[in-house]
Amino acid sequence: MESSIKEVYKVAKEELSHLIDIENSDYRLEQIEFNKQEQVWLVVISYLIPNNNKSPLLIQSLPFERIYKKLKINEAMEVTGLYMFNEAG
Amino acid sequence: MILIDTNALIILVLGLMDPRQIKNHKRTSIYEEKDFYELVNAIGTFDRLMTLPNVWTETDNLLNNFKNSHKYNYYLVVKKLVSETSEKYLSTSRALLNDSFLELGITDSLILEIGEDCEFIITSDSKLSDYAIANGIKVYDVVKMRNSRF
Repeated sequence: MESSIKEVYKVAKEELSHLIDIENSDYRLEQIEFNKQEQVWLVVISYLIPNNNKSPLLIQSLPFERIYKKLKINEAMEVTGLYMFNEAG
Repeated sequence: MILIDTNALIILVLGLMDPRQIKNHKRTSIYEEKDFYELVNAIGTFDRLMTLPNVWTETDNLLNNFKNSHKYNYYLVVKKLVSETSEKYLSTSRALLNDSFLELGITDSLILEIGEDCEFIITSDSKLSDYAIANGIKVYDVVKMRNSRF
C-alpha cells in the first residue's frame, strides 16, 4: 500500500510538473483513495499560485492562493483525468 | 497552549482508538501511524491542547458513524480528550469580522482569531496553514510533515 501511494504521488507530481513550477509551489498530496469499482486511484493534490485576482471584498488578500486538483490514475499508473476540486467537498 | 484543527484532531482520535485505523479512514488515508506518533510527541501532554466547540462538532460529525465495539472505543477516546484538553468558546460573529471567513469559513477563521495567542496551531488543512503563516502564527503542518517523507 505504502509503495503504491508513493508511486501515485510521483505520477501525479510528474503530471502537474507540465503545468506548474513544481519545486516552488508547495506541491502537496492531500488525499488518496483507491476506487475498487473503477479500479482507479482518486488523488487530490494542492499547490500555490500567484494571486492575480484579489477580491475587492477583502482587506487582506494573500499574494498567493492554494489550488486543489483531483486526478484519476489507473492501475497502469496512467493519468486518466485531471479535474477542478473544491477542498470543502 | 496548542490549538488543534478538525482534520488533525481526527488523526489524533483515530490514532488513540487504534493507530492502524489511520490508513483506512477516508479522511486520513495519506497518513501513517508515524504521523500520529509524531503528532502526540509534538503535543506533549494533553493538558496543553486547546480546541474550539466548532472543531469538536466537525470532528464528531465526520467520525461518529462507527459500529459496535469501535463506537464505544470512540466514545471513550473522545471522553478522555474532552476531559484532559480545554475548549474555548468564540461567538460566530467574531469569525465574520475576519476577511478569512470568505475563504476558510467559520471554524478556521476562529482558529486564526485565537491562534495568535497560542504557542502554535496544529493543522492538516493546507489552506489554513497558508493563512496562519501569513498572519505570523507558528504552525505544526501535518500535511507538510507527511509530504516531506514522499
